[in-house]
Amino acid sequence: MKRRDFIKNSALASSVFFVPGFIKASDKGLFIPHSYKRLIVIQLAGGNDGLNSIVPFRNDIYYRNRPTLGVQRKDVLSINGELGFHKKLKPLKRLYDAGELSIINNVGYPNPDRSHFRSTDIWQTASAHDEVLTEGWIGKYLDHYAENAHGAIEIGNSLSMIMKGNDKSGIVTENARLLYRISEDPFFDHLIRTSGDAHLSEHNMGYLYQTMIDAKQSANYIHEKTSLYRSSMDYGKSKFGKQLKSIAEFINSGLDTRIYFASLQGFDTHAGQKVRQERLMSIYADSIEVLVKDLKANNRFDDTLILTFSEFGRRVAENAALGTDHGAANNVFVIGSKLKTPGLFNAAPNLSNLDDNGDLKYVVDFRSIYANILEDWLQVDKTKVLSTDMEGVNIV
Amino acid sequence: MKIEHVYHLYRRAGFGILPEDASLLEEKSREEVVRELFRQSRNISPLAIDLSPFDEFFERNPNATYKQFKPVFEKNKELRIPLNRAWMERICNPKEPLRERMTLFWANIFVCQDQVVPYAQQFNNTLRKHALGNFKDLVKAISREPAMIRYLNTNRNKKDHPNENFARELMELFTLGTGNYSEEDIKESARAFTGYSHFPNGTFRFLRRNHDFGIKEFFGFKGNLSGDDVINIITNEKQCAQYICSRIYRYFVNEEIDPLAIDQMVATFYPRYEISDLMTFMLKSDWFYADGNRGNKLKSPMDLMSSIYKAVPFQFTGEKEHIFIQRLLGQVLFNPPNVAGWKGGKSWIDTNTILARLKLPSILFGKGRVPYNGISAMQNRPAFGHKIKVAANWSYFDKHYGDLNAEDITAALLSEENSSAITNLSQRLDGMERQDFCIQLMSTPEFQLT
Repeated sequence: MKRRDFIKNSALASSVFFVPGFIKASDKGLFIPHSYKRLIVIQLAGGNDGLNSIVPFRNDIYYRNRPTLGVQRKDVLSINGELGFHKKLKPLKRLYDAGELSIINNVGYPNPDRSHFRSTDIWQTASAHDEVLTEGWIGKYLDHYAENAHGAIEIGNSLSMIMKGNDKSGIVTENARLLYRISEDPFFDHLIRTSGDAHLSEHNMGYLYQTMIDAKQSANYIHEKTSLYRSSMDYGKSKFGKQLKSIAEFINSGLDTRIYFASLQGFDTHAGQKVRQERLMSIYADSIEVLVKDLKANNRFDDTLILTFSEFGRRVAENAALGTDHGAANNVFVIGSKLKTPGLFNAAPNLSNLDDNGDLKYVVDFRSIYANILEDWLQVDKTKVLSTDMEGVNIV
Repeated sequence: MKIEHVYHLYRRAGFGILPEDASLLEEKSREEVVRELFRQSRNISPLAIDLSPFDEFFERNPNATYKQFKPVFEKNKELRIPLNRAWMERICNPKEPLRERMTLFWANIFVCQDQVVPYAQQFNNTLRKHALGNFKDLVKAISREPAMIRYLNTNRNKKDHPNENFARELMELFTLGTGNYSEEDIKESARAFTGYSHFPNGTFRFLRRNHDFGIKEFFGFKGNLSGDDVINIITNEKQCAQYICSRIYRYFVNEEIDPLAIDQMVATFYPRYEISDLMTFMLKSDWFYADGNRGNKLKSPMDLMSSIYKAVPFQFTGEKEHIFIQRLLGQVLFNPPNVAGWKGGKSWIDTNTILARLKLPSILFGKGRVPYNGISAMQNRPAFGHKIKVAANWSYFDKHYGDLNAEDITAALLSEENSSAITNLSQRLDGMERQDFCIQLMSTPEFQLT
């Protein structure tokens, strides 16, 4: 970071804790967001079986390929006589009926990679299949558009690739209290008080001090903003529900954070898929519905968009262990009140035109969804965040 | 040799040195000290965790197929936890410091990851074996490792369906660097690596039926080139020596390249590619010890852990705690973030990892709060979300640091350039428990530099 940036950052610093040796700024009115739109990104980690989520329940090829795992018609909530929600996704059906859900089918990228790690990297860095990027797209958003580390928050215990930018990275925390407890060590205040101009150094020492100051400021800011508000909604007992509750509390207490990220683990259903996936779908859909209610009750839903993806779908044919193996294209859910194309965005998967592995072929490039959200929702220059100038789809 | 230079050499080329050992070397010349460092690393101590489920399987099924083997390695994936631990403990307490340092370095050039635990261990041991040997041998050896064959899909690289993954990374990340080859070079060299495979027990297997014996054209050479031929042709390019010397300089000396130093290194390295010659030259150079090259490098999480361990050896008593800590700090051994490896430098530090790093000593040795203002780490209220089960060997600290004054402790823990931290500490050793003083020193931004 350049000296100029340090001084700029320092000037923007809020005075919630003692700031030594340089200008103390007012802690109000300095952060002027470009707009108040927020985004929540959720990864169904492990590769959710999209075909058993949004079920092609009139398709013979589907049932032929899934003699035991195919979702029976009686367990499907029909959308259009061709596709329907798995009954465990009933809360999503309600969002669909209210025009607050877009389902984008067949999302993926050319030459799909079937490794969790690699495909997660591709989705999180918005790279092409043969391009290795070391920054996540939310991290890059922070690099260009955020004043503070808390411009984006991940709910978890270690920072995901998606949050890592080149010179900024988002905050990761389980909850605001823990973050504050870690950062409020009196010894850190002592170090900052006695460091003199160390934070102004252009070398690594300056970077260390400045990052420590940033961390404390963000932790303080989040703590101060959120300590008075608790959600009264019941998010259930799941870890994912608790994560969404944290996000709702952050948003509803007026945090100026623009992007939140959380993931729900466990979708890698190679064996015994039915029970596991149904449990996870329930957790996902039930928690999301509470989140939407919570945001609506606080008048924040109109400014919030929820994007759900998985690093890949699963193979059309079930395997011998009552599970499914890693696949390719999959569906993506976008939830919000200002959708341009609510409902089914595009046609159902074509099960008679699979790739050499027997996987769904992609029709919509995932980066065109990012492009749409960046340009039309977050209203930033998509080319600064994505390494492609791909046209956006028309979802928001 | 100046004592601060001894510390610098051992911090960068090994994983630190005890004050009493450093003062012994103070008497010797740089030449002698570097020779001693190499002498210590002559032996090779492979990682060897208990892999009995695998040993028993191959004893019963010497000709096992991959299909028979798969459930065995799936079932024993959790052995990655003790394997990770074995490497971490090796880094913290190395018998052959330079060799272990080079092993960690090469693991971030030849980035690889495998869930089959014996393959992961074997790969790591191959790096260790060749760590100070000949670079060409090293590249050839890793091209035959099952972990690499699986990671970069050489096993799917067949005559009729070439897979270019390995050929691409071989040039982009392992030898030449981006932009120093063409797409045609990738296509042609991928053909040379067709047929590379391995037996389930981890030995290399060349499948003639999958190999493309046709004529390939590569960097001006034309013929029925083999994988080894391709590696010889690549290393024939001076750019390869240039690339590796730059990576070594950035890791061991300074993130910012000095072209004159690189020229000298290349002149030493090329064309024989003897790694120990190169390292000897570098570690004896005046510029290696120059003011601007000391105390300015951001520690990797492993550097940080090992530098704490050097003062106060610790052992995680829980089964998975070491993984949790590594994840918190952003460097899980055997689990690189992607094929390009850990980015290093400033990318280690963000608003999350800085707090975790500054808290680490008090998490390991206290209850999560840095001792301050008369409050010892031992008598403090918990201030960290997770309880870490760890046993600290303070009697070791007392034995090796107990008689030192504040300045000497500081010199042993912080590089000379960063020892101003001591003036930042309101309480000097006189008013304070020696152990708390040590935790304080290790909880500073200055301690993050080496």
